[in-house]
Amino acid sequence: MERQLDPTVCVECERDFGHEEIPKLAGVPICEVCGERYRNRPYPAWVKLGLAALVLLTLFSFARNWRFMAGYIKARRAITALKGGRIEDAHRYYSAAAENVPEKAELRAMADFFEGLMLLKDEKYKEAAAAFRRSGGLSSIREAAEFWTLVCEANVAFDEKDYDRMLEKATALYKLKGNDGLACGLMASASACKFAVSGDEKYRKQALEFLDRAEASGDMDREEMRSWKDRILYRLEAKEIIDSQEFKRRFPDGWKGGGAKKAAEEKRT
Amino acid sequence: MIIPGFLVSVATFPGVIVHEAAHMFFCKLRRVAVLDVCFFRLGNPAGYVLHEKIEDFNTAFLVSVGPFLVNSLLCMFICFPVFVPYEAFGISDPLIMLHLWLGVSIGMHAFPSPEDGSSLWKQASKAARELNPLAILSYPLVVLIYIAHALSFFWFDAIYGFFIGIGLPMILLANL
Repeated sequence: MERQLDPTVCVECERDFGHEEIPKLAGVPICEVCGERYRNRPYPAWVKLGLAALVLLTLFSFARNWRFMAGYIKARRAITALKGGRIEDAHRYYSAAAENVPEKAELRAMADFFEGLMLLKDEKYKEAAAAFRRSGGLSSIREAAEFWTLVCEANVAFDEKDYDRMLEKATALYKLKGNDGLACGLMASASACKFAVSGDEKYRKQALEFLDRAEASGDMDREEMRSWKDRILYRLEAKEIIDSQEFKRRFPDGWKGGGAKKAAEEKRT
Repeated sequence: MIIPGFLVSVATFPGVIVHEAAHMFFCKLRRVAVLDVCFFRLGNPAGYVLHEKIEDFNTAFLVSVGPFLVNSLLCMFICFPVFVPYEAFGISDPLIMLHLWLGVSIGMHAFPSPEDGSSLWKQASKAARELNPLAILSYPLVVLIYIAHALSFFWFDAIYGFFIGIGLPMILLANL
């Protein structure tokens, strides 16, 4: 059964079009004007307002959270720089990322760590130790930060001619990292300093023993190891403590060595 | 976890509203008469757009698939400003959580309903006979709509919402 509708009368506005049949919409006659209302049905105001609020909220969040995006991009660039061995760039990017996202302590810790490495490279041991100490709060780099802090502190003690403290730091380093080349090298260096100032034979023996361990570790490259070894052997033989710059100045072509060097070389062969 | 559909719809109602608004938008765009519209209600379906019969396949395709594009893009747009603080820095505040809820809710309702799929299938069958390439391409899409609907029992719609709202931008940003 189907309801009969006059094809000349609009079911919506009931306007009569006389003899003219009007178009149908969904099977019923609806005039142009009424049909237009269905074809261009307006959204309810609450839908419009809701969508506008959604867009405004998102734009507000874009502005509010842009610093996180910038921080993330910089942190990723820092990692890329690190992979490429570009410590200065890694430091620069981590510092910028830490400024963008100060609530993320890890970024500041990483920036401090790389600042420490840069200062260490420039032999600014006191400042480097402070930077490493600041970075030590981050668990993933805590051990590395502790290691480099001790390296710097041992160097500071050397610069201040406090050889007891230097040996104390080197011992702590050795306990932390065992037979690491640098830890053994610093133990040898500190022991040699102690021998040079005290003449106590046990320090001489200790210096030579740790020098051997440092060499055996293979952690240092050949040239670095040779220069390190020459300085320690010179210290043991001459009982004179000089820094690396003075050593290079006095022996630009390397130290030819005396009894201690020969004895150490014989021991190795 | 089995949660009644209407509760999911209530919890994600912005997605239902956006989905129906997108349907209506494409109807208006293609001048299809909208006879009745419900943006949200407590029932099944949670929302609907009742429109006149569509004869043109391209229009039918747009009206059926349009909400998928709109909801997906809007989900990405809403989640984008908050996914970095949330995902990369583990920061969550009420505004971030509001964004994630809105974005994922909208993303969850991206997929066309089985009713949309069925009407698209009918239209595609007619149009494919006239070798309409879009109609031929829409067959796998309809299959995908049915699969997505079946998998919604296993929270596929929610997984999709999370993926496009958080997963996809994360992948994009990781490859910057």
